[in-house]
Amino acid sequence: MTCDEIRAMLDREGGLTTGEAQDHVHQCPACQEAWARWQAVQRELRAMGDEETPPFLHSRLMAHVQSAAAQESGSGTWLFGLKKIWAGPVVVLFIGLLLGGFGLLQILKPRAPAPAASVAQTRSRSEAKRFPAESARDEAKEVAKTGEHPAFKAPGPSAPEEAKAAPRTKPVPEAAGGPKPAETSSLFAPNPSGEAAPPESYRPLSNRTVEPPSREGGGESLADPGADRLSSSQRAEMAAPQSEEQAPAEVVCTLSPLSGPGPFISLQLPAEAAPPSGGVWTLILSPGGGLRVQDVQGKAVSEPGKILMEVLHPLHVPPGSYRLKRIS
Amino acid sequence: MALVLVYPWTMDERGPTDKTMPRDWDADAAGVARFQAGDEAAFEALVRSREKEVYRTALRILGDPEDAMEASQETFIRVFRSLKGFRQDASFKTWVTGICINVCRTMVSSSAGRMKRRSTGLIKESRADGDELDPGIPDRAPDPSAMALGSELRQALALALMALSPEHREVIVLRDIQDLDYSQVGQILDCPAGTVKSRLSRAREALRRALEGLWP
Repeated sequence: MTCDEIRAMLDREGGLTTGEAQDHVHQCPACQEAWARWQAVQRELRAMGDEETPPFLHSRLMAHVQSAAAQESGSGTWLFGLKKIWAGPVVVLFIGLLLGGFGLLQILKPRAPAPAASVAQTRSRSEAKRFPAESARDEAKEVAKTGEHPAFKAPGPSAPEEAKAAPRTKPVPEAAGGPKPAETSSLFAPNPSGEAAPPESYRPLSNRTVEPPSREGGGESLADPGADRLSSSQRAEMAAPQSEEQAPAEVVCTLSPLSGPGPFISLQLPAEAAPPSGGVWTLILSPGGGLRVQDVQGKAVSEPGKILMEVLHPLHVPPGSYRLKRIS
Repeated sequence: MALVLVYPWTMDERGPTDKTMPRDWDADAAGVARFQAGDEAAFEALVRSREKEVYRTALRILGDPEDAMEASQETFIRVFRSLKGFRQDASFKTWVTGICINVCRTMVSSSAGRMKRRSTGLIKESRADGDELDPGIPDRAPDPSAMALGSELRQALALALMALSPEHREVIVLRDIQDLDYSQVGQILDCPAGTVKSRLSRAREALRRALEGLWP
């Protein structure tokens, strides 16, 4: 093997791969030197692969990559991390603003009425006692809407037609605050026992069974929802003032057919338009719309007539004779 | 896993250190998979695992630390852009090194790269077989790292490497400096392993000749 072949082998194979080549190197000083140089060069080349890199190499590379990616993101193509990193906070912020705005809207706008059933259930006995007249008026209005009882059945328009007319013919502002359709009570349904409930059996609304309106029974949504909401909110906002200012001026009465068993309705009336405490008046409603009020002695009472008409008119009480008894 | 099993690290005379390759490959493959699954934080780990190799490769091919840094930055930008579509037919290391080589080729061939080169005495050598050292070699002052080490051989090697043609320099850097096997070098240079061997043989001969005048 020649010296040139040894060098070619080193270049080609990177070492002395045959015994013949090793024997030659042992015997040839020039090839020994070439082999030693080759080994030194190879060690130094490998060492070049492990030499130090500039300080902050990683930081500089990452900063450059992120900068380039950010520039590309400006053109809408891609964004290194930032798009997904910021997408979450942006979405959360947007949702937060949305919910915050909605909550603010809920705070600023008039409070929506609670569902009827919950209203009935959450009203405590004491609250019902604080507003007995109002409750009675609401119930009376419901009776007027669903009026199915023969004693109160209006000969004129049907219940839905009455319902349509009701909001237009409400003369008393408080009447606009009638209960929601869900509060439609069955108070004027025939008593299972066939007897009219005595006035003393009046119970606060919270103790009554509140049933949803029956569509078959003509219990459509009769009241103006807007009027309901407005009235309820007003009622909620004005609850305290009413309890303090109006309660002494109003009394609760029951109105029931004069003859025979039948249902009754509770009315909240100004004190001057109600019988004296424990007293009873007889109301005679003529088909022409006239109202005559008599006390127990049959003596005409003229003063409360106008007020009573305002109360009874929106209730669509059919003509007939009724007993108005003050219970509080 | 199939790629790991058929990985040809036994194709040449590589030593026992090659046994670490599958482990590195697995780590890189996991990082790539995480990145492709949407975990962009995995990219930083991939950069950290390969940044030194990329920088050293660029430094030995370009011969200038600033150029090497620029090439490294451009390499990882390209890696970042393309990593989503990387199918892992090759190892991440091989793929990144290939991108680095392409970046270096672009910089070498660019007029800007040539303008930055400094002339410190052209080393030009002709060979009997017609292979000529790069006429546009970036002859420059000795590598600062070599100066710092005070290694005469290191300094001579740095100069000799820059005297080689880019083609020879690439194969020397990949095989003898970065310690890649023939298969990996073939993948990076897009040529068969046999071509790599012959090219490497010619490159070593050219390097040896270049060193004769630099390292007595």
